[in-house]
Amino acid sequence: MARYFFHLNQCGSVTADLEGLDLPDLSAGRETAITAARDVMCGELLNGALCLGCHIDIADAKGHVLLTVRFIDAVHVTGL
Amino acid sequence: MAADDIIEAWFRKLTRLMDLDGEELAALTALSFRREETEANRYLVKEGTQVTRCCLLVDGYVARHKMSRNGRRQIVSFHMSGDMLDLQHTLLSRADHNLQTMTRAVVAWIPITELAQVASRFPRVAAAFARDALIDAAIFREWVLNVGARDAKTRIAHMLCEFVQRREALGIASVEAVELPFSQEQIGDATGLTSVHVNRMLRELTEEGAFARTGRHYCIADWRKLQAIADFNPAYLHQMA
Repeated sequence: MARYFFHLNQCGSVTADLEGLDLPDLSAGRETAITAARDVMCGELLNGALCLGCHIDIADAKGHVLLTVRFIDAVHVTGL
Repeated sequence: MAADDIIEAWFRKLTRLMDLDGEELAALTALSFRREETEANRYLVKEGTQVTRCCLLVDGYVARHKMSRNGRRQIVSFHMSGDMLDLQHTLLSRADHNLQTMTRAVVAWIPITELAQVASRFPRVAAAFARDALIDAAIFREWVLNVGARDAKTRIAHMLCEFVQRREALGIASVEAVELPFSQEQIGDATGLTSVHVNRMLRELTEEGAFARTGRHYCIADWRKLQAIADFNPAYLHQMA
């Protein structure tokens, strides 16, 4: 297990994750970030807005960004 | 004979539920208590097991929760000092949910047969237990409303309002002195949100002045504001929880 931190970037505004989550590997981290991105988007949609340009940076305990998950890659969008 | 801290925590809660007399309190004091100190994240009761003893929480915090098939945890209530965690097992012996410590905790185990005997000998003790269970049900109703009908920020604010209100009512701490003991993940499991979403909403509540943040820790900055944001009316706690 390793601790991964999920920093939320929304149009230049960063919500830094100071707690992190213990996960088996980065692949589990990616799944966690995708679920989180969808959850944050759900909250936005209920307020009648959606930005697909936001992203979540997955960092290790030293602060190095290991992977970036873009909101637009967390959903299949059709009908635009 | 029970240790002082066990009796103090329990009676502080019980006497809010019912005005019990000396004989009733003496019968409760004479129960067999087995004191135990536990680590955080320990299961006290697991779903599906036969329960033969009731757990009284003396110190620390415990979550009542259920698991979905895909492994998602839904916390359905939080418990604190003085709460009988599984009074329902005096009448329903098979656990239909889990009880897990959220922090280090001190608990006291009481044999169910002894509890049931005291309840049948003293109707007002039984009424206190029934009231406790009814208020638990009132809290569950409020939580269904919370996860089903409130947006993410209101939901988190409401859950935390209830926690702060109950702690203050028990005389554990003043509102301002409450440092939230929950991780983002725990708040998320109680509100049906991911920890990233919880972190985002805690930031918003902090920017609006309801919370103050020092490093990783949050405390209440403006109790009235938090209650207003949360749509919080403590009537469902019946001034006894």
